[in-house]
Amino acid sequence: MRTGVRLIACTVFWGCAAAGVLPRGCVAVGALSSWCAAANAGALERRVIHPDEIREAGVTRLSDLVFLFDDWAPSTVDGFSWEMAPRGGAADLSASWVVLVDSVRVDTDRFGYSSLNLVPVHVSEIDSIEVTRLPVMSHGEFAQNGLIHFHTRRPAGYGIGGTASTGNESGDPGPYAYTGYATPNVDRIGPDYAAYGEYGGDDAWVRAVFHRHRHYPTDESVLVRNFGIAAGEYPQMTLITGSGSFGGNLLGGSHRAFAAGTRFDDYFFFKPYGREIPVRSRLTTGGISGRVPLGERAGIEYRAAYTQQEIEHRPNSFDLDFDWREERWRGSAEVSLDGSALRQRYGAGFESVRSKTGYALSKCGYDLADIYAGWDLFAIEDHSQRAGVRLTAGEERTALEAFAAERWRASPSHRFDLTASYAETLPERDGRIWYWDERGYRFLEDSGVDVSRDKTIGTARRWSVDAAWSADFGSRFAGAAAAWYRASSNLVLEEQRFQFDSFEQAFGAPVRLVADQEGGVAGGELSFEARAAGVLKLCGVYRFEKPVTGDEMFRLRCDAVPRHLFRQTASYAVAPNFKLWARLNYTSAAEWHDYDDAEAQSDGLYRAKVDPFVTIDAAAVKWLWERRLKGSILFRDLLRQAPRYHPIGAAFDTSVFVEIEVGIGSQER
Amino acid sequence: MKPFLLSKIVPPAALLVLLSFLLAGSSLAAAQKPGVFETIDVELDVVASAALGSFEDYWSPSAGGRLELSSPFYAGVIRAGGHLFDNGSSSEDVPSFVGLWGYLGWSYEWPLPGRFAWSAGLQTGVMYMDFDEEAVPEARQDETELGFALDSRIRYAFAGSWSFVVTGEYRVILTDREIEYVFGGVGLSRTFATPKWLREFLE
Repeated sequence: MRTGVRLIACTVFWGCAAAGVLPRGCVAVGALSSWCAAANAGALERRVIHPDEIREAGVTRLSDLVFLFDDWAPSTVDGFSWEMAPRGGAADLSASWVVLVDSVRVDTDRFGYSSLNLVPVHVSEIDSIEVTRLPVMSHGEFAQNGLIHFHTRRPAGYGIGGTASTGNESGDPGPYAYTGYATPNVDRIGPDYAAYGEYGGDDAWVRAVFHRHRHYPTDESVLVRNFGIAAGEYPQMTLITGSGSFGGNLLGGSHRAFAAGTRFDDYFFFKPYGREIPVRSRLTTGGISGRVPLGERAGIEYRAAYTQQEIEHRPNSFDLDFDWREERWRGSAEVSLDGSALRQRYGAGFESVRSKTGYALSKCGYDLADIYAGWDLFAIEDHSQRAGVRLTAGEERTALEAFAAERWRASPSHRFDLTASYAETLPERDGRIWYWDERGYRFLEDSGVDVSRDKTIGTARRWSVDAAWSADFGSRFAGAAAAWYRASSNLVLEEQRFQFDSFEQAFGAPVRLVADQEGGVAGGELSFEARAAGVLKLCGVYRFEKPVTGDEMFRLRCDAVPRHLFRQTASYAVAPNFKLWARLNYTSAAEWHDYDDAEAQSDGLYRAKVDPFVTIDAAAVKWLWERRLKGSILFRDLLRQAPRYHPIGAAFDTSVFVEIEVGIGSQER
Repeated sequence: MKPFLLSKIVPPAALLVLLSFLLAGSSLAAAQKPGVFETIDVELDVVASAALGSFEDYWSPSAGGRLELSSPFYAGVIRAGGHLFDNGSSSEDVPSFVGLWGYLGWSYEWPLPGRFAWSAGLQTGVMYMDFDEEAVPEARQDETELGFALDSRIRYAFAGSWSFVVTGEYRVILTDREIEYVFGGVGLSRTFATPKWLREFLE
C-alpha cells in the first residue's frame, strides 16, 4: 500500500541531491560518499554547531537539536521533551548532562528529567553551540556526562525579528474516517512563534525575546493516556518564555546579565509514576557573568545565577499535585593566569538549594561549596596536557571530580587524544526525586506508588577513559576513531516492573531502589567529515556501545540504549541563498526491561522492545529579500518508518515542518 | 530493516537519478536558459483525474482546474500552484468532498527537437479536503494532509511567449490509508519577464 509513497519519498531525497548537483556534475555525490565511507574515521571530543547548520536542518525548537547531536542516543515519549544518552550515559542517571548559556549553568531538570526546550534561549539568538562528549571542566562546572554550551549572538545596531513555524504529521484518516478504514485523527504540531528586539552598540547591547511553543500528542496511545488524566481538558502542551539580556564593556572587561521566565503547561512524563501528569512548570531564572582582565596575562571570571523551579498543580483526574518549589543559587569565580607554556585557573564556587512544599521535610535544602583548579600545559613540543580537579564539600560528605587529558600531534595532520576522569556524585547532586523522598517528600507514596529501598543514596562514582585518533587528509577530509570505557559504582538504580491497567490504558508499578550497583560500558565511534568545492559537506558518525561488566540490573538498564547508531548528513549550498540538507539515520533496537510485561498485558499494544529503524530526513532553506526573510521546509521520516523512541512513546509518521523567519537590522545575514 | 529498502526503492530511485544525470548532461550544452527568477510562467490547466487502490471504491475524482506559477531556479524550475477538483462519493454512506492541492514543486526541463520541451519533477504539498455536506459534523468538515507527487509535462512553445502544455502526474496523499491519484491535463502557459523588484526579492 505504501510502496508508492516510498518510491516518491526516495525520489524526493535523491532528487534534492540531484537538484543541487546537476549543473556541476552529480557523480560527485556518489563518488565522494563512497570514498568517505571507505575511509571512515571517528569522533572528535567537541563539536561546534553554527546557526547555518541549525537553519539548514530546519530546527525550530531547542529539543530538535537532538537530531544534530550525532552520537547522542535520543528518546522521547511525547516528541516535545527529549532525553539524550551521550557515551555510556544510560544506566547511570544520577548525573545528567550540563547546560551552559554564555558560561552560566542553567538548571532546567525536574527531578532528573531534562528538556532542552526549557532552556531560556530561542534558536534565533544562537551564535553557536558547543557540544562536548568527554568529561570536562568548564566555567566552574564539572560535566562528566556531556556538556551543551549555548553561546548567544551579540547584536550590532538595531534589530527586530520573529519566526513562525508549524508542522503536520501525516496519518490522518482523511476521507476514510467515514468508511470502515477509519483511524484516529492526528493533530498538527505547533504553531510556534517567536519575536525579538535588540540593540548593540560599541560598548553595550540589549535584547528581549519572547517565544511560544505549542505541542499536541499526535500518537493515539499517548492521547488516550492523556485524555484519561486530563480532567476534561483537551491535551496540549504550551511553553511560553520571555527573556531579556544585556551586556557591555566595563572595567576593561565584558559582562552580561540575563533574566527569563518560562511557563510550561506540560503533560510531564514522570516515569516513577508510570505516566504523564498534567503540571504547570514555572522556571524563573536570572544571572550574571563576566571577565575582568588583571594585566596582560591574568583575569578574573565570574558567574552567578538564581533559578526558581516550580511544579504547580494543574487540574487532573487523580488530583495529583507535586506541590514543589525549588530555589537554587549557584556561583563561582576564578582567577586565570595565562603563560606561554602554562595556563592556570583557580576558583571557588557554591550552590545553595532550598525547597518549599506542603510535605514535612526533614531537611528543606542543602549547601555545597567547591574549590577547583585547571591547567593547560604546552611545555613539550607536539604535546599538550589539560587537567582539572574540583573538590565539593557537602554537609556530610565531600566529592572529588578530576580529569586529565593528553594530546599528541604526531604530525601536522594526525592527533591522538587520551582522556581519563574520575568523578564522585554527591546525593545532593543526584537530581532524581529519591534524595527528597528520603527527606520526607512523599509525593509518590501519596499518589499510590510504593517506594522501598534497602539503603539511602550514597556517593556514586565513575571512572572513564577515552582514546581518540583524528586526522586531516588534506583540506577536504577529516576523520577520527575513538574508543571509551565508563565504569560506575555505588549506583542506586530503580527496579520497576510496570503493569498495564487496561481500564486506565496506563502503567504503574512499585519502585524498589537497589543500591550498590555497578557496571562498565565500552564503546567505539567512527566519524568523518568531507567537503567538496566549498559547497558540499558530508558528515557521518557510527557509534557502538555495550555493557561489558557489572550487575545484571546495570546491564538490563543499558539495554535501553541502542547498541548501534549511524547518522550520515549531507548539506549542499546550491547557491548562497539556497541550501539543501538531508540526513540518513539508523538506530538499532533497544529494550526497556521495565516494560517486559507490557506486551502480554496490553495485547501487543505496547512492547518492551523498541524496534530498529532507518529514517531519512530532508530539508530546504531559502533566503529572500537580501537575507532578511527565510523560509524552510523540513521532512522527517520520508520512508514512513514511523520510528518509536520509547516503549510507551509516540510513533512519529512522516511529518513536514515549515518555518518563516524575518529579521531586520542587526539580524540580517 | 525491511526488505523494501533494497528491493523497491533503491533501484528505481537510482535509475531515475542516473537517467536525470544523463539527460541533464546532454542537454546542458544545448540549452539557452533564462537566469534564476528571470521569468515567471503562469499556467492554467484542465486536469482529468483517476483514483487508484481502495480510494476508488468510495470516491470518483472529477476533472478540475489547476493554476501554476513557475520560474527558473538555480537548477531546473521551481513551481507553486493549486489544483481544485471534486471527489464525488459513489455511496450514500460516505460524503463527497472538494480537494484543493496546494503545492511546491521542482522539475528539470530538457529541450526536444522543434519547439518542444520535456520536464519531469516532483511536488510536495498539502491536500485540503472540504466535506461540505449536512451529514458531516461541523468540527470534521475539513481536513488537511501532506502529500507528494511525481509529474511530467511536454511543452510546445508557440506565438512567442505562449506555450501549450500536456501534463501527467502521480500523487500520493499520506493519510493513514494512502490516497493515490493519477492525473492528466492540458493547458496554456504564458511567460512574463519578472519585475526587477520581485527578482531582487526572490534572489
